[in-house]
Amino acid sequence: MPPPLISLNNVTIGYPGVPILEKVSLEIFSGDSYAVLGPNGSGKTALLKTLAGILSPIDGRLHRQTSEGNHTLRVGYVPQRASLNGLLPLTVGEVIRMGTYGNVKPWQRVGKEDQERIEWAKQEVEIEDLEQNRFSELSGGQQQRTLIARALASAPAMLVLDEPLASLDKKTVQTMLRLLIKLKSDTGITLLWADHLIPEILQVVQDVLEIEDRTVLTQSVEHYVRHG
Amino acid sequence: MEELFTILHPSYVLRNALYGGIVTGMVLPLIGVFMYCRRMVFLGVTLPQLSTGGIAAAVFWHLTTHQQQPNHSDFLLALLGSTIVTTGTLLLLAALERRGHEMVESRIGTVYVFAGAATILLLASERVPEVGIVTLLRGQIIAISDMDMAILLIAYTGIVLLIALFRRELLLVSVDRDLALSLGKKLWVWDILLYGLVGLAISLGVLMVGPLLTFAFLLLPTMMAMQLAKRFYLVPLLGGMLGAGIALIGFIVSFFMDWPTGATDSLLACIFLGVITLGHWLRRLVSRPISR
Repeated sequence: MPPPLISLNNVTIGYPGVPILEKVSLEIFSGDSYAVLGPNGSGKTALLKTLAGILSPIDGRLHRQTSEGNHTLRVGYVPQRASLNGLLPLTVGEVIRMGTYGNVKPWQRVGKEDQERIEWAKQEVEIEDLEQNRFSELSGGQQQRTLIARALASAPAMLVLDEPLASLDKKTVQTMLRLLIKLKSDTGITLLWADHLIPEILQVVQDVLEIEDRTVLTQSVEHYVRHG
Repeated sequence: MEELFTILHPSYVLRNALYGGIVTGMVLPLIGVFMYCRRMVFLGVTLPQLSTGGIAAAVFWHLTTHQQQPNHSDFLLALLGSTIVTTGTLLLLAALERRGHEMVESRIGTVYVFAGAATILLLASERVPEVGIVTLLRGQIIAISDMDMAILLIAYTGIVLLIALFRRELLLVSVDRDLALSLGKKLWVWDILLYGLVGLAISLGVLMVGPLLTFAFLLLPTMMAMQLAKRFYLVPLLGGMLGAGIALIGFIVSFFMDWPTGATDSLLACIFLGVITLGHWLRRLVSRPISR
């Protein structure tokens, strides 16, 4: 069995001075997909941000590595779409290119490989024709697809999605599900996905990280459906 | 027309005031873009006031320790005092923001009041003679020497080069800090660089054109460019061009009308912003589909 991409051992998760989840121990394996489930305010976003490297653990041990044992695990984080300032005249192309900024040195231009990945990411989420459109003028589903393309442009080993289906209409939810299932089958990428639409999310994932009593329980989808 | 050619001629006696104003108008919006992205508009008012306090503190310290008026190096002394106070306070505010729970705006407001009061009290001291200092605090646009102009150009060139080199990193930490962290960027490194650039640019701006016009150049051309630009990467370029244009037109208007240059430029920037905002609003109104 290959080593896990991320392992947490007795970790306390939260914001500086505000612990939210305690004694969290879990392992995330390459190619697997996980639903992060729990009520509002339970700490789903804090858990995702910790796994994505945005929040540092307050206490405990967190280890990240690539499937090849390299310590620079690249995680594509897809935030809730309201996180970008709507007043800025950012185009879809500019938002997606930001995903490559981790690969490019200050004095370098975005390389051919990154450029090809940007094109692939746009095709994968079907937004090729929106390149010149303003991000703030897109529909909710288009904005979410742009943020997924931005995450894919960073060449991630793992994709972390924070409520990508929130506030979308039924038709757009179905489109997003189709795109994410296709993405998973095309790339085999590791997925972590928090959402409230449990039946929909369980179509895509294999395992569930359920937040209960300020800690996280790992279980299979089958076990969750039977006992959840 | 002949007078207009006189102003624009390289041998014009106030050429440094004109060139300095144009360069300041061009560079400050480049910094203003990042402040706008980080929603630091309120800081845009406070920092020039703080910078003024830094100038007053540097002059007061010099008079206290040397028992004589600052000489030709007073520009450098004022620049140093202003940059240290502005950048240091910015870093302190950033550190408090990470740890504290109170409203950020309340701290910025307190700094504004403190800086304003401290400046007045320092200048009220018997040790500080009035003549000479007031030009530094108002922005010494008329009195600027060739040496001061050279310092200004070197410092502004350094600021522009650093912004051009690290534009992607500065944009990333200003627009989406979570993305920057997930891509492995060290936020504190880029924050310190940005705050250093903001502190230096504002200090130069205050010395050159005074606190009012520094605030105007920081934010108004950026706000105009945000409405005019079709893509984000055009915003700094457009903002810089608008700032430089306002400085040039303002200088000419102030010359013919015999008005103070700083106030004329600031008023012009407000008028330009009003016209562009009205045009933007009308365009959106016209392009909105009619519902029956």
